[in-house]
Amino acid sequence: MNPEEYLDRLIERREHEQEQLPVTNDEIAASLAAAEMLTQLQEVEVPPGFASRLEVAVRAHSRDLVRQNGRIIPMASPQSPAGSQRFPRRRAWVVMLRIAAVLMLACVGILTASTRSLPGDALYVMKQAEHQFTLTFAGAPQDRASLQIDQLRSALVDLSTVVNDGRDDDAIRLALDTVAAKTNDSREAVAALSAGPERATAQRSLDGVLAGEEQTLRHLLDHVDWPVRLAFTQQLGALGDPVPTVTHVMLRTQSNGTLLITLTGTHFAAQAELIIDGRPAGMVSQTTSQQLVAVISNSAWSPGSYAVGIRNPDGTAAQMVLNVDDNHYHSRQATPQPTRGFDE
Amino acid sequence: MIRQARRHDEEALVVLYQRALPVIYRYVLARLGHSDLVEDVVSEVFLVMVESIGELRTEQEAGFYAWLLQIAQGKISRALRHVTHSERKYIPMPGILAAEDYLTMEPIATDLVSNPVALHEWRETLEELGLALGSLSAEQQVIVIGRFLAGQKIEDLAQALGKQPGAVRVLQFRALRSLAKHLGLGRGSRHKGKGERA
Repeated sequence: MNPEEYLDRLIERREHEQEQLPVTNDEIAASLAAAEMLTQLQEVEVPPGFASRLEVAVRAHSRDLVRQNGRIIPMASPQSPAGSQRFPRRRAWVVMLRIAAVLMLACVGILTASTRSLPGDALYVMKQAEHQFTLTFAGAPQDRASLQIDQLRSALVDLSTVVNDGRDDDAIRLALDTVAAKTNDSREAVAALSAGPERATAQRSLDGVLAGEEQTLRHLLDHVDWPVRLAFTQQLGALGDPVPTVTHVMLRTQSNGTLLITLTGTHFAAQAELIIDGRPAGMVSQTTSQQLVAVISNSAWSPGSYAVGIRNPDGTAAQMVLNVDDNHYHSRQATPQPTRGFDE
Repeated sequence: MIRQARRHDEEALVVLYQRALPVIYRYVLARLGHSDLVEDVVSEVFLVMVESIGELRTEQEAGFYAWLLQIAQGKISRALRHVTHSERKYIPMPGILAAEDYLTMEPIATDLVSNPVALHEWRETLEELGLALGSLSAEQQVIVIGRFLAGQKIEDLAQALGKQPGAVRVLQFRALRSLAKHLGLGRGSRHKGKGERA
């Protein structure tokens, strides 16, 4: 037996943990040691967050390509059998069968198209109904948990796609709402599993997807408008990230005619900006993790409602609505859906 | 599965991705040894996989790995051309960084994190292995990675590469011999010390 074959046999025996053959010379021994070092690379673990994020990207890229290429379901059009005119009854059957086949293909086509639909598309409702349908018929709790996690993953791909495609805010909000709902559902489904290895596996899988969700949301923050940014920040907060909140706004007139605005809240970053009605405003003079003080021009204020908030350098944001009524200022908790043009 | 993936079936593509990710990640990490760069390169490899899967002319796993490794080799070469020498050689010393920092830089078995000496040895080994792998021909790399990281058999690799199994065994033998030489391996010695490196 030549050395190449002998080495391969030694490697195979080691792989299968069989009794070792004698190592005939130093060259073979060194080669075996090199093979062993290569197998040590298997100890390297892929970071779950990266794996999850890349999976989202792979799915999104795959969908983009399918959409660009315009996949068409091939439809067979069989020839009429020769002499069918002589058998009108048979022909009627053939016609009916064809109609049934066309209807079936149309249904399959619609279902297929709905699986690729995105929030804002007409067929997206069908996709959600299909998801609900599969969940309803999921047998064991672990199957249900697994399905919920898969659907969360799919919702993240949809969110990423609608933002990258530049869809309108309504579509992005719908996608984000779906992600938020699926996040809660997945957590509940995993929590409902009884303690044991299946729950641990499901929890690991969910942790990986949630890490991917956090990274996806943070990555997309800079690609969305102000109101959507607020909603993204809220979802990051729901994931347990430290995100800013604004709990109180105070305005004070200064002797030089300018206004001193003080925002109180949590998780303000050092380089946070003051944002009024979705646009950067004023000059920030002081920031702590719980307070931001800025100077703004008095002339800019007239009676009405103003959305006053902050934006941290990492893109997260929060705001409150401030009611200005003849030099009386009242702040109240803002919703992330302001009723007037607060867009950036 | 590969047949379905070639038709851009999303689920099939994801299954292939999930199977191949550890192999490609470990290979790229060994070659580049730079965490940020590794993630960029691995991402590029799989996005190319999605784009080009229709061109894959095999339905066998070994052929798929060989194809993917060739894509990875191209991306690694390109990345290495763009990385400055100093960046590539930058290896932080243990003690300067906390264990958590190592975890964020490099995905390793968690038991190593609590042992700085073992961690340092592991990083050195990885660096040496990466350099040694880089000295092999592209075909030899595909064979040893396919064999020892993807768990493919010699016969399957031979079919994937259009060679006889005997020829693949010869290539494997030469590749391992070359790796052993670069790593300073011999009978009874795991690998030689840092100062003795060629």
